Order: sequence, then C-alpha cells, then structure tokens
Amino acid sequence: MTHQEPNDAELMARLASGQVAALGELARRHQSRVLEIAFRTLGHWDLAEDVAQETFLRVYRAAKHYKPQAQFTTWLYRIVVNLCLDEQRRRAKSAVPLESVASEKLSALDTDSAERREIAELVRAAVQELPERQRVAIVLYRYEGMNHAQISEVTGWSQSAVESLLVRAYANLREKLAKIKHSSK
Amino acid sequence: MEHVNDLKLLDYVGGRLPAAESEQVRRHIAKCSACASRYREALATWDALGEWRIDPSAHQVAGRIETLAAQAESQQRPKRTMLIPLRDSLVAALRIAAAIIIATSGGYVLGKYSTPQNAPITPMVETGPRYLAALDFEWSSELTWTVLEENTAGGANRQ
Repeated sequence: MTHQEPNDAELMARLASGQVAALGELARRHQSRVLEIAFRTLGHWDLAEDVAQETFLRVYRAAKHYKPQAQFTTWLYRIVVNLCLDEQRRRAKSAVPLESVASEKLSALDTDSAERREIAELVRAAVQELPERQRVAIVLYRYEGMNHAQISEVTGWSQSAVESLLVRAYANLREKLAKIKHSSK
Repeated sequence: MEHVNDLKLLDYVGGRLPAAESEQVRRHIAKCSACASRYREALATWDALGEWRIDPSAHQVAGRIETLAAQAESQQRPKRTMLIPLRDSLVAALRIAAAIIIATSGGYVLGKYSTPQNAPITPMVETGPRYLAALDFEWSSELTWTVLEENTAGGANRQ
C-alpha cells in the first residue's frame, strides 16, 4: 500500500486547522524555488533568506483565509515576488544600492572552472543592473521556466506588459553580455 | 517576407512556442539571413544566462520557519484568554456609560421644554394656614386666598 503525500491544498487545510507541522512540510517542498527567485531578484543570500522566511510566515498567517482558487505555487510566488519588489523599493528609498552591500560575488557552483565562474559573475551583474520589473520578468521567464501568462498571474501585470518587459530585458542583456564569448556545448 | 519579431524569437529560443509556430520560425530562419543572425545572438544570450547557476541548499529556512510558527502559535493562546474578559468588561462599561449619558441628556432636554418660559401667571388657590400666619391673620375656612406665584424664569408680577 503506497502512502500518498498530501498535496499543497491539503497541507494548507491542515495548517488552517492548527497543524504547524504542515507549514514545515510546505517550506521544505518549496523553499528552494522561493530562495532562487529571491536571490536572483535581490542578488544577496541574506536578503533572499529573509524574504523566504517572511514568505512562509505570510503563508502561515493567511492559512485560515486561504481558498485554493489557483495553484498554490502561483499564490506562493506572488508573495515572494511582491516581497522582493518591496525590498528593492525600500532600498532605493534609503539610497543603499544592493551592489554596495556585502557583495555576493561568485554564485556559480564550486565545480565550475574559473572561466565559467567569471561568466556567471558577469551574468549576475548584468541581471542585477536591470530595472526591477525587467529583472523580475526575466528571472521568472529564464530561470523559473514560466511563460507569459504564468508571469502575468504571479506578478499581477498584464500579459502585454510582461511581454514588453521581456523584450526590453532581453535586449538589455544581449547588449551587456555581447562581450562574453560563449562556446556552444 | 515577414521577419520574426523579438518576442517570438525569444519564445522560440526558450522553447515556449507551440509546435506549429516553432516549425514556422525554424523554416523562416533557414531562409532569412537577418533573422538567422538575430537567432544566433538570442541563443548566445540564452546560453550565457544559463551559466548563472546557483545552489540554494546551504540556505534552507524550513526549520527556522517551523520554530517561529510554533512560537507564534503558543504566544497567541494565553493573550487571547486574557484579553477577552477585559475587552468584554470594557465594552459593557462603555455601554452603561452611554446609556446614562443619553438618559440624563434626554431628561434634561425634556425637563427644559416642559417648563414654559413665558407662561402666564396662574393663580394658585391656597387655603392652608401658613400664609395667614405669615400675614398675621387667622385661618378661616370661608376665606380663599389667592396667591400669585412668580414664575421662576420670567419677570415678577406682584400685587
């Protein structure tokens, strides 16, 4: 007899009934993607961890009122994207650019060669230099594999706005990364 | 010949186009050198972006979140039981105070309007002995004394 794992909606129902362990299970299931979105958008692991933590705490607080109208992950990613945008705006107001805070160079894997690490660093810097909405759009498109409609659902922006952001972001990145001589695999 | 626009090219490179559209773009790129050049640039950018690989496994937050949630849960319960009776008492006290204020105000207003300001002076028949005593007269059952009362708010009318 196979034991079926509860799906996200079932875990949310358990959380709403007071079973805090369900939150732990949801966090274990989704924290990697939440952290990836937050890190790629904000560029710093400490900020990404803070945002990830706050994301799941908001899930916990909203559990009693949660109604599974859309996919759980759409709702979850909407929370993390909004928190990232809030964090960016907060830093912009306090005039503390993200790049000046304990620089997070070298996000590539340890097994990569020096050249690949250098490329990874150039890409990281290029993505961080994008305007915040372009950055969010390209992160969700390129790294989270979302299509235009999914990005529109997560961000709350219209599909045409998403498409415009993607085109502009990609044009900006193409210009910044043109100097990288990338050999095809 | 209609060239492939930037968005469609991006979707083609990213594998987001439906099969039929993807095939159309592939055929066009094979025939159009300008679009083929743009495609190579877009693909190079796509591959370069893929070089930024990250590993979030060292930054897990699930354990911390569970602890925080459990703490929040245990802190909320005692506060709720203490606050409820205090809140109920306060609400009841405010209601009683409001009722007293309304009753007092209403009584004042009604009393004010029930005593006319310029009422005509009405005679009052007084047959008791105390007025007679004040005037050095003896009381007589056959006498009826009319005492004019001044209105407390208006002017006096003395005779």
